[in-house]
Parts: sequence; structure tokens; C-alpha cells
Amino acid sequence: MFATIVALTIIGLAFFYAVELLEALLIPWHVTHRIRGDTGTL
Amino acid sequence: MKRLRSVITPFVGILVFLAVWEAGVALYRMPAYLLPAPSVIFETFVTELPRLAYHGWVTAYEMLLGYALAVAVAVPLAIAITSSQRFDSFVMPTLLFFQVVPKVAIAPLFLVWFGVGALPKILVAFLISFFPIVIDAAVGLRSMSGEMADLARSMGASRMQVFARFRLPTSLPYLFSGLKVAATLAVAGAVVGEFVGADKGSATCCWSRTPTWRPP
Repeated sequence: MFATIVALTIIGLAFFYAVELLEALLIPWHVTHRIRGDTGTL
Repeated sequence: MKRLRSVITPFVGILVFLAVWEAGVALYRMPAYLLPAPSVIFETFVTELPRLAYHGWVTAYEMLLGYALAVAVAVPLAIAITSSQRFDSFVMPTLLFFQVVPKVAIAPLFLVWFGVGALPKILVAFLISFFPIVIDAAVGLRSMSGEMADLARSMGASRMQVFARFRLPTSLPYLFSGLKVAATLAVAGAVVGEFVGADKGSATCCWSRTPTWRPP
């Protein structure tokens, strides 16, 4: 049963990161995709 | 170096969590039927990989179709909602009704209506992932500032151009927030559909284990 849960988790994670990758490709200008070091304050 | 560290850190976090779990199970001599150690789960995962991959593919297929259907219906609906206040008032109570109704309660009905095949699972995945996409897309489409719309119109942009070049790009960050929330929900939707009644899919792996109760 736990092995099935692990398999489902892997499917869910893969799908989530696929959507996130698509987001990074389509809206690279958005604040969520800026490198943290670059967003320094004054 | 900084980039490498940012890639490695999440994996280190997962490894630490698994190590604490493994140590806790060994320390408290936890029986495997209550909580198996990660190493035992990994062993079972490797041994049963062909079966898990087959059933996992079925679940992934149902999830992807439900999600694709949700995107195909939700995005045009969000455009229609933001285009007309009357349509918004007309359709929103029904949308809320479908969101509030527990999907677990509807799933057996789908089974009666559409049989044991993939369709009921696809519909549950669709229902569960549909609402966040509509709401976030609608918020995104409304997020363009009035000044921006005025600027576009002053430059001679048509209504279609304002939508395609200004409103739609502005809405994308909101739309993707909804898509990401829906992506995690779609898996749950497909599994809920399978739990109610299925002859294949990941949930059937869980069910087939229950009579003998072999958790790993």
C-alpha cells in the first residue's frame, strides 16, 4: 500500500513540476522565476 | 556552486526526513503493518515496479484527461465570466454548487451513470481541478489596470488586440497559480474515482492489498 502511495506521489510531483516548467518557459519575466540573489533591496 | 547548492538542498531535506523516519521505526520497533520503514517500502517499490508502473500509467492517463478537460472548459468560461457581468451572476452560483458538493459523494453516482471504465475517474478529476482554474483565470483576466486599457485604446488597439496583447499576458501568472493547484488536485480526483470502483489503476493496488493487509 505504501509503495502505491509512493508511486502516486511521484506521478503528482512529476505533473506539478511539468506545469511549473511550462510556467517558467511561458512567463520567465514573472517574479516567481527571478533568481533570489538578484532581487536585492536598496 | 550557489546553483548546485540550491538543487541539492531539497534532496538533503528529503533524505533527512527519511533518515528520521527509518530511525524512529527501528527505535520504537514499529510493526510493518502499522508503519513500515522507508527501506522496506523502497524494496517493495522496486520488486513491484512493473505492476505499479502499469496501474500508475492508468491513473496518470485518467488524471491527464480530466485535467486537460478542466483547462479546456475553465479558461473559455473564465473569459466569458470576465466579459459579461450578467453571465458572471448567471453562472457563478451553479459553479459554486459543483465546487461545494463533495466529490467523494458524487463519484459513486458517476459509476452508476457511466460504468466502471475510465470516464467516471476522468470526470471526478475534471470536477476537482476545474474550479481553481476558473477562479484564478477570472481574477487574472480582471487584474489588468484601467490605465493600461486606456493606454492600449489610445494607441488604437482593437478589443481583440487589448485582450490578446494586454489582458491575456497579464492574467498568465494567476492562471498558472490555478493550474498548479489543479495539477495536485487532479491526482486526488483520479484516485477518488478509482477507489469507488475500478478494475485497474493505482487505487486498485491499495484495495487488492487490504484483505491480507500488507502495508509496504
